[in-house]
Amino acid sequence: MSTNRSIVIITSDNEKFTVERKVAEKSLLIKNMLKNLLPVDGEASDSEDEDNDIIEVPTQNVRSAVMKNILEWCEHYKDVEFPEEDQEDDSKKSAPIDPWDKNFLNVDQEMLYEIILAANYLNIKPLLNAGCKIVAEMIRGKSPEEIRKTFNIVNDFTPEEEAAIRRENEWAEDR
Amino acid sequence: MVHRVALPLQYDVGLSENIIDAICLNAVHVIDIINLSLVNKQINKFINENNNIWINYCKKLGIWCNGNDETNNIIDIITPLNCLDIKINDPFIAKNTFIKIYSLISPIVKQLLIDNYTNFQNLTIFNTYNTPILQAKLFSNIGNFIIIMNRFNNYDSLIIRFNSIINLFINSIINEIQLQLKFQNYSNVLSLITALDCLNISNERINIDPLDSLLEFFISKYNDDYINLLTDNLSNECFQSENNNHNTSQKHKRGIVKGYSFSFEKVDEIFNNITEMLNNQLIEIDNIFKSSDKNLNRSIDEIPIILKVLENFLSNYLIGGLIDKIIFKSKQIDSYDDGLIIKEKVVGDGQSKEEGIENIDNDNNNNDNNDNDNDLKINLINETSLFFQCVPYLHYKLIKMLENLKYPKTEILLESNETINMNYIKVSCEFINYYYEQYLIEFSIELPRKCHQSLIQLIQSWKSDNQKFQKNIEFEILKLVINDDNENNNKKSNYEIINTFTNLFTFNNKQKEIKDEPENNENKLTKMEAKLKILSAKVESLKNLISLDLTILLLQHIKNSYDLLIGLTEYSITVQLKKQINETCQNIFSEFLNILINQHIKPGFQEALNRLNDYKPIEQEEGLIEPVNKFIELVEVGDLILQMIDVFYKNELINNGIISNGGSKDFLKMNGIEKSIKLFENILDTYVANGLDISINIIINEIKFKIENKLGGLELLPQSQSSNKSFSTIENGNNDTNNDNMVYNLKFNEELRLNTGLMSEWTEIYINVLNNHFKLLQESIEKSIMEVFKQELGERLIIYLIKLILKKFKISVIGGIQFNYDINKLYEFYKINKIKPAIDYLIGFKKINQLYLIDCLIDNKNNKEIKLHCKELGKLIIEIGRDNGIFTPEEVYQFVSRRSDWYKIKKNIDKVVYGFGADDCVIM
Repeated sequence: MSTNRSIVIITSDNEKFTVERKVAEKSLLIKNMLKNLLPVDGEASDSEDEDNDIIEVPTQNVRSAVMKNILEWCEHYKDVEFPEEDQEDDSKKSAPIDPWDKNFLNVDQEMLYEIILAANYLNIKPLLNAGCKIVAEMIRGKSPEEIRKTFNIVNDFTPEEEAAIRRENEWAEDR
Repeated sequence: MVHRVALPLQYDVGLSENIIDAICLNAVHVIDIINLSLVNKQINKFINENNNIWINYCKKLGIWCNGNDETNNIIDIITPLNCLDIKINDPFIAKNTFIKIYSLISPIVKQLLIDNYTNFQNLTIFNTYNTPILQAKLFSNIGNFIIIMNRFNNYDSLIIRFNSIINLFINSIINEIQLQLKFQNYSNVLSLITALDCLNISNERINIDPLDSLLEFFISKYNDDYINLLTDNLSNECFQSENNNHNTSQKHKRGIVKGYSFSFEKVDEIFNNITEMLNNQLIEIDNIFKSSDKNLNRSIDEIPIILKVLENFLSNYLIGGLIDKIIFKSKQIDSYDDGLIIKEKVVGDGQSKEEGIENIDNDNNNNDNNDNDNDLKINLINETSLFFQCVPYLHYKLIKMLENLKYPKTEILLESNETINMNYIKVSCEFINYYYEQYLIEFSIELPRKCHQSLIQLIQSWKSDNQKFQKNIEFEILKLVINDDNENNNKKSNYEIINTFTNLFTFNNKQKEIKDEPENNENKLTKMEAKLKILSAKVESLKNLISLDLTILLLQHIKNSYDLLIGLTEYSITVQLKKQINETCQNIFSEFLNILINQHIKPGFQEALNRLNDYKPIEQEEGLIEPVNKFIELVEVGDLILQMIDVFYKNELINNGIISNGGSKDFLKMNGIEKSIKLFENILDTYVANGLDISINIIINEIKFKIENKLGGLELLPQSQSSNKSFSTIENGNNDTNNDNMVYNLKFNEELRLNTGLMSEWTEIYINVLNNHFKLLQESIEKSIMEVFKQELGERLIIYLIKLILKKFKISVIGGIQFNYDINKLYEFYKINKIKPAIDYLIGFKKINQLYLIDCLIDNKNNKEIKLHCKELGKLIIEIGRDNGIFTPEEVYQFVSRRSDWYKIKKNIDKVVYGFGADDCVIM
């Protein structure tokens, strides 16, 4: 089967997105699933019928609005080979966010949250990383309370617990 | 058909560990992570238990190692100075170790780069870290620590600030080094250098190179010492104008070009000053590093400093400065228009070069020592070019200077744990070849042309028969050999070759000693020369038409050129230069062969052949065989020259690797030089063949001359003798009383020379002359040529023998016995010498001899008996004639007609042989 073959991705709200295989395969989750079902070139592609088969990938956890964004990102990077996670050097990990990514992820907080969740679910590491960089930027210099507020997180510490933890972390205070 | 790919359904609600991990790894500041951990219990637990976050920080600081070099469990002893020297690999101590380092360095960074930047010198930490070494270590750790702040908004300004502080620090150390050096506090200087060595920052945004700064310091410190080398005055002083120096001592000074001479003394003086200056610098550097044995782990030592200082000096000041100016000036003077010079000269010296050379002996005695020294450096090749005078000499001075500098003794620890001494000489001499290469290439391009000129000059001087000049040349060879030998004794240095070169064709005060001790000179010859000298001894007495000595001189000249070129590149390993030098050497040798063959060998042999041709043995009584001997000796000389060239080619060109594809015996695979040598060989063979041909004539003439001196000329009889004799008496021959006819016209057995075991005199002469020549030739010429020579000579002499018999001898029956004896002796001689065609003739003569032994006139009375004997003789004549032997019946008849009784028996014989006699003929 050719790498140009199209894949139909179905979202939780039943919207269908037809994309090139290599676009879909930016998701390591989808890539690994496809690898078993549809070997790539030169392997088992016996009949024309098979070429005409339609491959559908239902992603019940991702709604179409999010999937649209995810696939836009995948389309943008379809020809870029990202290094395996183990080989990625540390400096690159902590490098500033790519301007295109920054612009791409300039979305409302909920959408960013959903993109990060979807990237994590679909195993799209560079996208997850880019999303987390945005989040890291968002929490920069913020107090725990401000972070909670930003991300709508409930504080489940007792004041005593919180004070103890603060003492423990005094070393990091800006002295 | 539709395929559905079922994805797993688990889907974390809220932030999964993966996501928190990714956020922490991308956190800008470690405080952000701490604050995030305070958001809720789940995140707090995760961050506290996730070692990856902290290992990541340890990796950024360079203290995390995957191997076994860890220094775990040392948290308590970590200080700001050693905190980044530790290595850990235990994930469970990563967080605590990082926290410890962070809490040690972060406050210092804040103080130094943020809070008190403008006034950082007064920080209290510098009370704790109060020495340059401690401060250097602290700065290194700060530089490596702030890498983890790279995504801070103020990171750029932190870096700028840190860079200025560190540069300030380095500058103040350098200034302090300068100060301490001034007071010769070498141990303080060393500890300052050690501080620089401690500055080891791997942050790519911090661009410092302490070693480079230190090298720059030394370079600029010493540059002040060199600056006067760049003035034009100094280079100009190396050339003296000779236009106004017309006192007697300068009159015949060699090496003056276009009115200027190269001042070797000035160059020596300059180099002496430079050597002293460099030695002072080396001693200073050595004093610094030997002032303390501590800090053995210091990576900075004297090696880079010394090499950098030398390289800077050589490339920018000495070679790139002064020497470049000198060489430029030399070329400028060399290329002056002659017309311009004449105008410039106040008085033209009008001294031709040869006159100059002739008078050198006197000059040497008159001149002061300086002039003698200068003369040693001037030679046939360089005397007309200042460029040729200064390029090798400056190279020689450079190498000599670098060889003799007072380098410190530096030990280097090899990977194998062995220590060796640093070879400063080798490296610094490599600098020379690197920076001097352009002049050497130029020199090697020019050398063949100069060499060609001097070879021609040598040959022409030799030809000009200038005895004094020849003597000088011979002396120069000998002196050169002695110089060589002395160098061998003193463990000859490669650079001495340049001395050898400069000594060539020069004269000095040793001259008298050498002339007084000629025997010693021979003992002092070096290997190659000795070999050549032995060869030449063989032909010592020869008056040369081609000269072995000249060839030795020419070869020595080539050898010196080679030594010079190879000596110049002793320390060079560049492929291009090596190739260039090898090609130059090949060209020089090719050119030498060409000149030698065409200008010396060919004219020499041609002259020899002419002299041989002109030689008239009859005009000279004594020493008749001399010319042939001389020619053979000349051939021998030619052969020796060929051998010498061959030996030289193999020793100097093949064994030294100048020619890599030599040694082929197949003509098609030979290189150009081998073809030239082969051509030389062929030319010699041709001359040998021509010479032998002429020699054969000479030998035959000699034999003829000697025999005919005894027997009289072959023109029947000399006029004086025949004038009073009637033709009939000669025809009858019976009454012939002169010597020639008496040889075999004997009447009594007592007259036979063989009675006393003697051959006839003519046979003796014949065999003796041949024997003499054969013996001489056998020793000197090649066997195959000798064979041809013998055959040719033998055959031509048989023709002469036949002439003798037919024109000179009357043979009686008793004389026939002597004739038989002589023929047998000749036969033996020819047989011993294996001259085959002549042997066949002699076998023929033996048969012919029977014709003389039959006595037809016994008692001279009985006619019947006479007829009977004549019949017998006639039958024998027919028999021998029919024998298909070497002689035809007509020739046999002619031989028998030499019987002394022929006119008495002719009638009877003719009847037997032809069936009728003269009486049977009737005139019609």
